[in-house]
Amino acid sequence: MNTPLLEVKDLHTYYYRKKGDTIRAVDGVNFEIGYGESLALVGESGCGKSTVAHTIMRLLPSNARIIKGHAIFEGSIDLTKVDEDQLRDIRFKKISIIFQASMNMLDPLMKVEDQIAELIKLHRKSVSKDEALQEARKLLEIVSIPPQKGKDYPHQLSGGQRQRVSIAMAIALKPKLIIADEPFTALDVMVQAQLIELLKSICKKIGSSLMLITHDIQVTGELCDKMAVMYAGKIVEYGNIKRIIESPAHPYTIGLLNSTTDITSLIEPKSIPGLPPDLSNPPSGCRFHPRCPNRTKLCEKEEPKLFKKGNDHYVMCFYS
Amino acid sequence: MEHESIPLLQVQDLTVWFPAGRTGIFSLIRGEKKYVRAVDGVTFNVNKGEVFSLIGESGAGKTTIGLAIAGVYKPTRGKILFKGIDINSSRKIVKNLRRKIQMIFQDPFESLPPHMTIFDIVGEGIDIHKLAGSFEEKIRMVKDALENVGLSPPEEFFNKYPHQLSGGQRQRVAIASTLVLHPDLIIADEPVSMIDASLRWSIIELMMNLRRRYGLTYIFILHDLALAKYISTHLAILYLGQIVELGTSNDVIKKPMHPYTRALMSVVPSLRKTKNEREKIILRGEIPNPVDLPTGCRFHPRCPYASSSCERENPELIEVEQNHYVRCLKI
Repeated sequence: MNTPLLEVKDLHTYYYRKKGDTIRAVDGVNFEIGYGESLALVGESGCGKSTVAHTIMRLLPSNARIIKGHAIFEGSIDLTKVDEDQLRDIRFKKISIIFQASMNMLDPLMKVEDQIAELIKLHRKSVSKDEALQEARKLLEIVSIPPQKGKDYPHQLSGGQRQRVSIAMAIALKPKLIIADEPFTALDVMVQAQLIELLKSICKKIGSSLMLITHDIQVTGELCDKMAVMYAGKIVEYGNIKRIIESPAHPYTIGLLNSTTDITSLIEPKSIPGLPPDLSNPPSGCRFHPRCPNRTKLCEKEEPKLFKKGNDHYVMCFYS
Repeated sequence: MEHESIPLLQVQDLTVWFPAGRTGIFSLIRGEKKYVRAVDGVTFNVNKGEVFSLIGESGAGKTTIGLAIAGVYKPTRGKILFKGIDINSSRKIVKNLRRKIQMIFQDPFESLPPHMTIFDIVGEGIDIHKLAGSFEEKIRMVKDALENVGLSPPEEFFNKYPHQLSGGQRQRVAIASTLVLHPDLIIADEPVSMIDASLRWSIIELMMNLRRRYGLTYIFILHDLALAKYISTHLAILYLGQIVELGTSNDVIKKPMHPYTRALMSVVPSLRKTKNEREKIILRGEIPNPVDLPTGCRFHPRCPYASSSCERENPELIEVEQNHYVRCLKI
């Protein structure tokens, strides 16, 4: 059996609040991403999906703790255990991240091509300043930023262009894994379509894997091979994306799919009733039971295990 | 009272230009002035009970149109008639009229004042327009409004602040604060784009229920055609300050004619179409700067079908089929 690029095992990340309570944001999460594979991590805001990404990248705030579990990268590096020195060799070089508010990530006082060049120089000591700048310009070309725009400051670019710059930075050192955390949310549909195509072609070109984090299940189908649906800190459905979209098994996944609008369909969308639970005090039993249309007594008492429903398709529900 | 045949809202040749910020010394000497032509000759009618959606990318001018109808911007040229009366004519006539037009904004995290309680936010309009005879009446009105938007029990929300509510709940508060004023027309600027996909539809459903109950008319400002398809009776597709296609929602979605509309429709994400089944028309670049507009048809630099005549001639909005208007030389 091949070892996957990233294997997340039984991961628990909690936040500790001043009030004394604990938020169980990630509460036993398992998944794998193979070489060149793309995974969509889907869920509502507050389900813990960004915390998964921040745990992998070790970008957690000081009040967060990795309680348990592993994130094994390239079969040997445990990302939950590495120290700051090792992290410097991993971030951007092996794993990079694109944030939702990329505009906040760019340095407002530096020309965008200089920012990319600086990143290249920092990680590859042998490269000269000019070479780094040349490479930065090449990267801007790949993400379709006109060459003269490289001399602009971030505020002179549109939101879509800034997101392209952050994609250029994310791919600058040809990482093995790109994490994209809600990369499209603040953007227009046409820009979104451009960026989806761009990400797709870039991953293919440099052979990286992709982890797309989003609340919008609609954009995942075009970009990803696998899907993990997350609810209240746990993955409730996991597997091949086509299989999940065609025959979703968990009531939450079904709810998410029913809530999307679709230009080709005449069926009216339906919202999932209720709100996601407070993760400092999650519901007993199955965490989705208060909002589930099929709940029984059993669901209130006992938590279901993630079981195999079919080939490459896993579900955490008693009745699927 | 109003005549049956007069549309609730008539937008006639609406043009909103803003002076462009940086003007160099040479243009000052030559006396040139540059303008951001945000909205440039937009005409449409909205009848009572309709749901009219303005669709376009950012920079298309859709929000400026909404704000002009709400009375925030004065038109540079053209008129906005509400129930046949120009909303920019003398203040006295329009004061009560303006109350009947209300607006809901995109970001419920920013549109509600953070230092006010929900009771004060919803009640503010009641005070300004002196709609309640007594404090008891005001309480009752706020209570009704909160109940109508699905925030129950309403008393529990009275003393809460916006930061204690979820995005969806905040947008409900924003709707409640317009409802107390008994509007006829609500302009909703991307009301659900900041809300989780799973909760979006519940806000839309609420707005559609309120429309039935109170006979409301809506103008939606959206970029999501898939959402617009479900809720709109009429659609106007905007590009660089002009309407490029206008018609009933059915006609525009089933028979899109303008190349821009077709491109927009092709890129709407869909799960029911797999990677290879769909042919996407991805336009290159972004919407140009509305200060230096392209010559001829404004869409020609990005249009896959553009020819040399498109560079020279600016097409008119033409009725191609009954009530279906398109601005394109090729049709």
